[in-house]
Amino acid sequence: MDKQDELLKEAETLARYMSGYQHELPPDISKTSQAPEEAREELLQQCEEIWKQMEECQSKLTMSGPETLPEMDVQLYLLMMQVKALTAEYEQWQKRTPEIISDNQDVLLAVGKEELDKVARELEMVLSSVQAKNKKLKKDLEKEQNWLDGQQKLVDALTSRQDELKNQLSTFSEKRVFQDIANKLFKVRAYKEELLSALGDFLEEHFPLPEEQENQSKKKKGQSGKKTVPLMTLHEILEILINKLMTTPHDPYIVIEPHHWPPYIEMLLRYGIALRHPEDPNRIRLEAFHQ
Amino acid sequence: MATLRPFDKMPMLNAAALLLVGTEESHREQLASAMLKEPKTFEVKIHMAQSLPLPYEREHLRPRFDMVVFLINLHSQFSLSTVLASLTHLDVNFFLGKVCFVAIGGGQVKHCMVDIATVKKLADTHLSTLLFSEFDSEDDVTCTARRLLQMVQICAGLVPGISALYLGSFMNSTLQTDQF
Repeated sequence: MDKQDELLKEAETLARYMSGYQHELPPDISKTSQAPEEAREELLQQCEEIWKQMEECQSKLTMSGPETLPEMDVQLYLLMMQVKALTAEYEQWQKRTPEIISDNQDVLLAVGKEELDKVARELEMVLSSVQAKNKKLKKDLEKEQNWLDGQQKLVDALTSRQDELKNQLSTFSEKRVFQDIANKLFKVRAYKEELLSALGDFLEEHFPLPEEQENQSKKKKGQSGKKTVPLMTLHEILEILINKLMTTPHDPYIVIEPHHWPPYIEMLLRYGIALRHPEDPNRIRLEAFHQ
Repeated sequence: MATLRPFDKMPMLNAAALLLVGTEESHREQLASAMLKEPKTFEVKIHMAQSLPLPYEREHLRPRFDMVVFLINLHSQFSLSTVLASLTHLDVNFFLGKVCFVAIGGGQVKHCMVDIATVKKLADTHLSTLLFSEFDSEDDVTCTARRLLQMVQICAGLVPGISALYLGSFMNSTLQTDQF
């Protein structure tokens, strides 16, 4: 079944090709006229003569007995034979004169028609194959053209994208980075301010200076005989600690002085906000929260 | 024991006759069917034999052979010796271009029992054409069949102006043993 289908398909394509150039073909000439009887007779006569000649030659050949290969020097023997045969054939060609098929007009006409027919058939085949090839080439060209268009589009798109990116890059490096950083810096500063003021408010509210206990402390100080000094707020103590840590990170310790109220220092130490110097109990530092 | 002769009978009109000689029946059949399948402008008659000489009976039914093709299976020593024995039953006039050797299976060297050089020497000694073919490939068989058809067309005198004698001397000049 498959083979039949294939054959049918082939026949169809062939028919399509044929119809493509059928109108360009010359009319069939061989069938237009039949060679006259007279000419046929003449040709047959000639053939008979040639056949008779052949029979004569053949009978002569049969007269000579069979000849098989010699035992020794086969190649030499055969080469000698070949030389003889070639020489004989050469002489035959020398003697021979080109002959005309026949003088009869009808025969010549028929032969000419046959030749023309043959040439026409061959040309038809050439035409069909050339057309098929042409078609294929056209198809190929179209395919290639489409491909080229696609590639061109791709190149265009990529080029425009490249330009876009180039423009972006130049603006990006110059202003944008700078502005970004400036913005961030501004934000961070604002946040820091916010934090600091919140801290200040909180400290002011919850850690006031011990003023109402002035009398008691005066008494104590009086007892101890020491001079009263104006005390520093917790806010200020923290500020000093932070500044010390930030400005001289290699030596963040401050010395505890009389105007630092001891309960506040104690509280800072107890809750781990400040640390005492391992060797000198009079010096403290802020815990390194930022590390 | 009749010797096969090239001109012992009258030729047929617009036809060529070919004799395939070889021990492998499958090879003969394959080549013959490939030749019959090929499109051609003349009629071709193919006869097959395992070896020469041909049996005396049925002699009157045989056509005049225009060409003898010897198939040599390179995988079998017997094939070569049969062909060598058959050569002695052939008239010397056949060796003026009407003999062709076909060596089969030279591609699979490890199976080869017969040296390729031996076959080449055989063909050179007898001034004959040598073709190589692989019979397990369809294309190769077709190609060999086409070449044989062209040769038999010339041998049968169906190509004006060219005789088998030229075939023998033209083809062989390129196939000398000492070149290998």
